[in-house]
Amino acid sequence: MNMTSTIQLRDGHADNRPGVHRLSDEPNHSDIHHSSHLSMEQRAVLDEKIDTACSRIAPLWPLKHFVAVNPFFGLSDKSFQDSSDTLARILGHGIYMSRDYYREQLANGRISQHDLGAAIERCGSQLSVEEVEQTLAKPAPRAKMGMAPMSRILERVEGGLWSSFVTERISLHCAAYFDLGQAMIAMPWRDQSLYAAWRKAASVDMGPAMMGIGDFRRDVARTPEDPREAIAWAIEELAIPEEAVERYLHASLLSIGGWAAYTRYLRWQAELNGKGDDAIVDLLAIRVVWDILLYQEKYSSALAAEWRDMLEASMRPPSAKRRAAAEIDRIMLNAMEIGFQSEVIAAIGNGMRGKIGESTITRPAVQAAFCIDVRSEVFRRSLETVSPGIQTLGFAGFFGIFIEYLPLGSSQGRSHVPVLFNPANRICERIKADDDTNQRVVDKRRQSLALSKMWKGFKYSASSAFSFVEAIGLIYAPKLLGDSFGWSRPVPNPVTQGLDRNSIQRLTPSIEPLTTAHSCDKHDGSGIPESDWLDHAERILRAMSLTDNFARLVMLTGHGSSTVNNPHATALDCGACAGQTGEASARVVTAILNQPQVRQGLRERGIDIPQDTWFIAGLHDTTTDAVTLFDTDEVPGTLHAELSQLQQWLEQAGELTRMQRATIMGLAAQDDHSIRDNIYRRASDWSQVRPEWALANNGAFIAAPRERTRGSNLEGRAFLHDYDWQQDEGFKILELILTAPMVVANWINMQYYGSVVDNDTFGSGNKVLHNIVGGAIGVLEGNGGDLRVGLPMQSLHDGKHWVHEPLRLSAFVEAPETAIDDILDRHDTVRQLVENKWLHLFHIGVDGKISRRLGKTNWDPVR
Amino acid sequence: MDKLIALVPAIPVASAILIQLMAGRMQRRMAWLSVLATALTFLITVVILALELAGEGGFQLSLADGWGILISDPLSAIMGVLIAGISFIVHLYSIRYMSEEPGYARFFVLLDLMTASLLVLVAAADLLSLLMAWHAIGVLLYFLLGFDTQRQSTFRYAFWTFITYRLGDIALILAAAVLYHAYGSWRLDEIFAAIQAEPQVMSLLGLSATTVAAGFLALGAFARSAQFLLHNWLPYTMDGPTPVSALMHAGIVNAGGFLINRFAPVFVHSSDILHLLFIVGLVTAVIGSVLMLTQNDIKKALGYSTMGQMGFMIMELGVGAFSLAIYHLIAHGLFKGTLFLGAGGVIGDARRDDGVPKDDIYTFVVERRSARRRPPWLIMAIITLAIPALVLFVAHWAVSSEFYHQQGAVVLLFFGWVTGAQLIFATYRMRSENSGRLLALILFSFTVVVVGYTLISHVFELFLYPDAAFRSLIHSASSIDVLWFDILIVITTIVIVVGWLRTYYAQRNGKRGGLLAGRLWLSFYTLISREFYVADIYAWFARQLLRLAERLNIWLRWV
Repeated sequence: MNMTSTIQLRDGHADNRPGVHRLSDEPNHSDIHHSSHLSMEQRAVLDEKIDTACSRIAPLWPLKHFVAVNPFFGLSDKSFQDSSDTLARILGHGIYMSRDYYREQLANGRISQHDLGAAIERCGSQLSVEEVEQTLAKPAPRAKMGMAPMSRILERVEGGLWSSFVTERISLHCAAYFDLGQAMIAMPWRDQSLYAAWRKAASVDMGPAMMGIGDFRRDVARTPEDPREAIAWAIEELAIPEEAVERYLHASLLSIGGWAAYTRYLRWQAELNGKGDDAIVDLLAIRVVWDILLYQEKYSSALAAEWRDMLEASMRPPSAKRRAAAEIDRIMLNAMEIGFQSEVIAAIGNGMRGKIGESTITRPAVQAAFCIDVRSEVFRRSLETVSPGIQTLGFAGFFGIFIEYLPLGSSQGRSHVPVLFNPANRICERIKADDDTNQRVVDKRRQSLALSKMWKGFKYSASSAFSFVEAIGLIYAPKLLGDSFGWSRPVPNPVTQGLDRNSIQRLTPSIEPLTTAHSCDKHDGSGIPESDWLDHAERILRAMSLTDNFARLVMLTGHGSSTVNNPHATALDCGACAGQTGEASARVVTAILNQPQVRQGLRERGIDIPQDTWFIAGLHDTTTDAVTLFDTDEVPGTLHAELSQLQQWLEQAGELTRMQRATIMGLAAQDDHSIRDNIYRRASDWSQVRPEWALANNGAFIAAPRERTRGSNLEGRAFLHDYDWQQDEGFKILELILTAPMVVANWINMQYYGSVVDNDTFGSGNKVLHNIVGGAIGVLEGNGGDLRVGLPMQSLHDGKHWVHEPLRLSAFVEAPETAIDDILDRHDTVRQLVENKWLHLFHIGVDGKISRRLGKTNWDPVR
Repeated sequence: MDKLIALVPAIPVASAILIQLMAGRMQRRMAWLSVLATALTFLITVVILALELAGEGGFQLSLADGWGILISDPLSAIMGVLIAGISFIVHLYSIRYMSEEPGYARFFVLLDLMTASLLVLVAAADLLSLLMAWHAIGVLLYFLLGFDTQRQSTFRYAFWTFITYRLGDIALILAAAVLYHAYGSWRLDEIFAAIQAEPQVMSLLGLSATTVAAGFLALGAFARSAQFLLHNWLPYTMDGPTPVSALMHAGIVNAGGFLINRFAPVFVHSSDILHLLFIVGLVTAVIGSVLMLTQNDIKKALGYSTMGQMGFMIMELGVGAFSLAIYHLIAHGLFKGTLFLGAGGVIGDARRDDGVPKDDIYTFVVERRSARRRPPWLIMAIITLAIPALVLFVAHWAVSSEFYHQQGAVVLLFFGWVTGAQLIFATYRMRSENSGRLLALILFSFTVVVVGYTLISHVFELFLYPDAAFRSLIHSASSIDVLWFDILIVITTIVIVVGWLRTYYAQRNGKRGGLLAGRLWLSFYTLISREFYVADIYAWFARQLLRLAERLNIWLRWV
């Protein structure tokens, strides 16, 4: 071994001299130490870097409740451009669309000369419109290599499939370790940490040896036992310069980005519960240990040189040429956004606020509240068209109630609140009947579920599968036909499975605490204490800006989708309900609001709900645009006429919404009837890769009274939150809107943005190749590789064009500038989103004037 | 009527040509043309099968003298219905599933050509047509698996399939050469007649021509049907779109079972090869099942499950249950096709599983009341083991009493017995409140299924092999030494009973045995989690080969 070079190397590292990255002339086989050479301080510095790198990764929720996540979530403390540069130094390319795309937008008129000029001004650029167009016509600078892992470098030096080999090995290990129920033979080391399990598995795995890394097993046994120590050791041995360490760690995590995101999710969940989870550090350790072991085992001077070159190249800040190219990208993105913003601004200008006599003067026929989801905008507009007397409202689809929900007979609750929060109350489902009936139905349901589970186990069991196939296989012929023609459902609907029709109709969430185990195992502490009802009711109504002029029927509408055979089914459900359908929350809130004692209490607190007002819950099926109403049997007889009128309006509005959506579905040329048939078929078609477009093309967030936008067509591109600042004492509600719904809208918007600009890294590729891994963790594309995050191409692209325009969110808030500035001052994360240009923040004045926030107290009038 | 059988492959070919020519003009609608064509093909195959069943079949059509012959016989008729049926479902599924893929038209052209090749394969009555269809299937499958031309890994894995299929091609070509050399004809009926007249024509190395040919045929079948050591391509075909996987698992991978049935007259004269089939099939069935249980992603688990099923099919051939193998591949095709096309549905499952309490909670909630009423477990164990055996024996005896003269049948009965025992065991574990009624219900359905299944498979055998003399020839060829047979039976019984009782005890006491935690288990787990290193060994072998070539080149100064 070469002592001097080792010392040199360590010196170089400890000195922090920039540009020193001497590698040992030959690798130190015998010098694998378990104790770190770092002082306590150095360890602390490194630990911080490790944690920063881990926090740069956005979490990935499993398929069971797949919710939108901002893939750049961990980068929002940097500006958009800096983040793009950071990612470019890792991945080789930034987070803008290709020049081809912008060229096309310019050619087809989506980006006008005027917008381009405005964008140049907004970016503070010195270029002229012609210069931008000329540069755009030229090819962009070639993508760089970025910060490549050792496997990629090795591949460049000696060929082979090292990258996919390492990814595959780590991915298989993670899949086996985290498996939620696919494999029946479980990995034996699951009780240890991810890293410890990997060391155990890798020290007996002969695969790498067969790939020509002879001593891999022995080497693994000699790696440090502690993951952070292992990372420290690898960084030392690989001679990563001090200032590149964080980026190297970030790059290492991104090179196995899917599993990194899943482990980040585990940490997220643990932190919500006040605990910690270090699986992500374990994963990072595994990744960097692979790097160093590959380096030592496959050492050659060419490899060392190539590695050094890569490190050096990644140290260099973007060149003048690249900075100039980024300027063009920035201008083009802004130009597209300006075009969109002026449409939204025009729509706000066309709204009815202050034009027709304020609708608050007459009592609305019905008040209908929907989720802020962009899909609601289309439906609300249709409903208002069908019946101008209806007032619609927008509010987050969990309607402000923080519940965990246990379906009938279930033993595990599901969170129905935005993923930023923890549920506060456990609500059990029961049927509207006495305890004995409940008990009977629950028993029957469990038995039937257990039977079908047993049947499934039987189908896949190693010993019975053969005879099973022979005895039962032919029965699959009718099922295969039925599924193909949409006569049967490939998988029974989990909501109704094991229940008869009569019981299904009587299912209801129980807001009262359940005292016995008749329908709910976890009945202890279930329900919402009666003493809290009033507080909840007041808080929710105020947050909805719904405190006077109540209609006789007030509908709270959650939303969900209907789709079969779709791994990403929950992505189409309500994000505010953590990827579940929204009816449970709506039913809980309406149940509370209909309690006489709650009404009485509200009256005392200044919210006077008329005697004849009734709250009713509904579910908007975003695939078919049908709305189902719940608990209609409880509606007082005096309101039956209104109820059937409402049902008729909903029917008509659904029809109208389907007509509008037909264009984007490619069904424009068909008549009403076949459009309806087609859309309903999508909901039960097992070969449908796109039952609906979901939130594609979202781009704006508007927090204002509905009158601002009523009558304008926002094309399903805007999140609409009702907000009336004149009623908001102390701007408490505004604070809530800016910190929760607006952030969620930004997450959704950025998920779409990331999935479009770089589907390989932040999207999940082609749906026709999706392969569900680990029971329901996520999807792989094809045979294996990394876990995929984000959205599939089928949610973004129609086969010819991008349907989603990758734009940053434009948020419009009707509230005084000072109030907004004040809230941003207090909430760093939100301020960073605005000031680091992750979204555009606009202010709507009382007079309808609009200005854009440039900085604190610096609002630029737009119109 | 003879023209009818030419129509079967001709329609999909015509559809493929039309789509290729008109793809530009007809846009999306041409996919429907393809679906209609397949539906029509399916109808014709059904008509042919009906005619065969009515005894009016036996069509024949020669395109050339001595080769290019298509026939309809029970085997080709029933395979034709399966292939056209599955192809129809896959077409229907692909219309919407694939609608936004670049190369939509190409996909349907390939599907149609694949359908046609498969249909020619099952109807071919001469070695040359058979070889051409056999070869075409491999090539077309390569293109279907590599459908997404943008992905690097797609080619890598499609190549695994391709190279294995080429190996199967070589084996089949050699088999054809041996047969032609020995019997001087390309026509299968002539060859089979000659074999019957003179089975022991000598060939290479003092082996009879039938043995050599059967060996090569078996090798071809192994490659196509993913038998152990030639199986690696099958679980790694998931880079192809889902409908391709469905078609492959339901209609392509079972070609081995068909091939051996087609050449049954060759195999009845080569006992050794039949025993080989049994061993290879058994090993594949076991390994495939174990690997299936280890996989963490659904599609690869399904892939290994197919491998296990193909092993079982080959094993059935080895014990002389030729017609049962065909029955198995049909039943499996329908089963696996459904599972693949519905592979995206786990969210429904995952949400539902929340509804089934974990064992302990469930025990706590329900068992309190039912525990006392349950019969003691020893009696249950005896019932569990004895009743399935009883049902199986009675059912088979009722349908065909000479069944027990066939040794192979006993092996198959074992599997039925295990299944039945497991079914009753699982029911018992459910701790239902009225477990007695549930058990009775299960037993009743089990009996019905077994009797029905026995009947169907018996009828099936009479349909495929109406000649009683030939049937007994198959059974005598597949029988083995009484001593070996007895040893096999005893070992299998012990393994099954012991293994099964162990599981029973372990599950009853709610803990795992000591063996599972031991070193042995860890090594075994590593082995299976690395899929027995088969892919790694082949990769290593390929690298060595390249290195050798490199050295040779240097040594010979070619570079």
